[in-house]
Amino acid sequence: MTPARPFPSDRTVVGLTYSEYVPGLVKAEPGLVDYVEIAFEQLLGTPEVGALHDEIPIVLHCASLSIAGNNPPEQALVEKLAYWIKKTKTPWVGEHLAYVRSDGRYREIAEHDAVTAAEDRTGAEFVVDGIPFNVGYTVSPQLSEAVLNRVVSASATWEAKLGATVLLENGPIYFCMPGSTMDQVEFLNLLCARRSEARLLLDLSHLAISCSNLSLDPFETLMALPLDRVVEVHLSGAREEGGTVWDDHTMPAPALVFELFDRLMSASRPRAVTLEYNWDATFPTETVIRDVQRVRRIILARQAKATLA
Amino acid sequence: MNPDHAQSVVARCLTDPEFLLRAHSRSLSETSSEGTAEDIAAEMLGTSELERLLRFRGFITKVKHNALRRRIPATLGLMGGLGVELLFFCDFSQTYVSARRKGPLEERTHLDLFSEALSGFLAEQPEQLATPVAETFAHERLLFDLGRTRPAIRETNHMRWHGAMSLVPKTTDVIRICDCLGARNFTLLDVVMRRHTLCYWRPENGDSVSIFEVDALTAAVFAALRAGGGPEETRRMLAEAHLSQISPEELRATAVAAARRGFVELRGEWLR
Repeated sequence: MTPARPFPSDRTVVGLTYSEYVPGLVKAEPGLVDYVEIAFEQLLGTPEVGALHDEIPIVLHCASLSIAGNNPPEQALVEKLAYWIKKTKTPWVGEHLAYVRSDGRYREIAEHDAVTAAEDRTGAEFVVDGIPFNVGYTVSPQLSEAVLNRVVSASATWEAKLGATVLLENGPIYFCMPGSTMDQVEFLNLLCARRSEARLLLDLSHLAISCSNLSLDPFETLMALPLDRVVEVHLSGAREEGGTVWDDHTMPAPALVFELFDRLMSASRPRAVTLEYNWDATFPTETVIRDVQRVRRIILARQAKATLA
Repeated sequence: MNPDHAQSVVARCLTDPEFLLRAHSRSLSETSSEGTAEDIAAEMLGTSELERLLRFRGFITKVKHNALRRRIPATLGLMGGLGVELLFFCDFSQTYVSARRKGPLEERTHLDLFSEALSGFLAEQPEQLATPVAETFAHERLLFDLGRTRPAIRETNHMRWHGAMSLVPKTTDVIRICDCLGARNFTLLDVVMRRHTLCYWRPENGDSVSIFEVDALTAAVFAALRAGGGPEETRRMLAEAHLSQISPEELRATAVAAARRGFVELRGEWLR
């Protein structure tokens, strides 16, 4: 087993989010992808997955910081995250611009200790640290001045604590959080304006989903974002049901997402593009290979155009 | 509005499906607010956002089933393709969250819980939707069960079976559904109604399960052979099933073919 190469910094690289089929594909198709993205929560349940680091660079993703919420994770969890950052030598940590937990400070709403699912206390699926409301899934927060200030402050704090850049990922909008006073584009622009170190993980599928659910033009929305701050890009599938479009990592990214990626590459040069095809261990690898190659073709075409220009 | 208040209300709704349903019900009620937590959620979110949250709760439950997807990928894929996956998981959220309060679910327990909820859900669905989903689930569930249970070997004076065989009549082409979903090129045209019988074979010295289609007559002969009797007894069983048209020669040829394929070892009168 050869030690993993350092994370490339001279070009836009392509990776896959970890799923059971990924180690086999990495072995069978050397050079297909440049890195594997692993969810920190996965490493808590199955730390052996971290051994992939011996074969290929790792990028850490995280859904536990609850950066837009009022309940930071417990110290033990932070220590584990710091351990894996060091162990994997991840170039950054991608975290959702979301909240996972709420401290239920409003007791009239919060007589709930008995109803928090055990899954959220066991660490089996998401990290659990005994905090009252643990949704077990990232929720797009209230888009307001108060939350903006919280996120600006929290991202700086976490970067200092963890000694790693924390990329903030745009979430999909499925409902309107009460008290929101701005849209996601304004929120992200203000975030980047107020914190010059802020960097983004732009999930183009989330963007397409939000635009569809809110009847917005996805290309206009994309171009209105602070694209110079985008370090990593996520691509995945989507599915419409009940009049809403939902994130779906069991499906390949639709044509619109690749078109958005092409447009993004005409305006920006992110360091990494991750295909999140990770909700189904039986995802067809020929589809994965096809889409990785499609991403690489877009990158090459856009880089060639930039060179000519 | 204070973000912690708003986010707390939404978090309560998402962690407690029963509360969410009550809040939704309150949002539709014409009686005045009594200041309960449900009333606060109903006033803050309103009916349409609570309905979106109900679907989001279903979506979260769906995502929590990704591990089960490796056992029943076609069932979940088909439900998604037919546009009822979230509808099901919205219904299932309450039961699932309650079950998970006791801790992580063992895979078989999780499948049983899912199976029971699916039966209840499909009972309310139109037949053209319920039948393909039920048959696809039965197919994947049988593969799971056969793959995890050592075959019980039937051995008589007349034959010895070398594995477990299940013969299942189908009215939907589940193999086509599974193949198309697996290749991610499924369309509704791939739900084809067709009467046929699938034969599932798990050899005693292997973990994999083979599936092949058999015609109705072969299925009936295999079923009779599995009883383990001699030629005469097997013919009598077939006659009782109104299949007396099968000649002794045809029956013997089928039994010999089954033996050649390694399903069974013929003994006694079968060898005469």
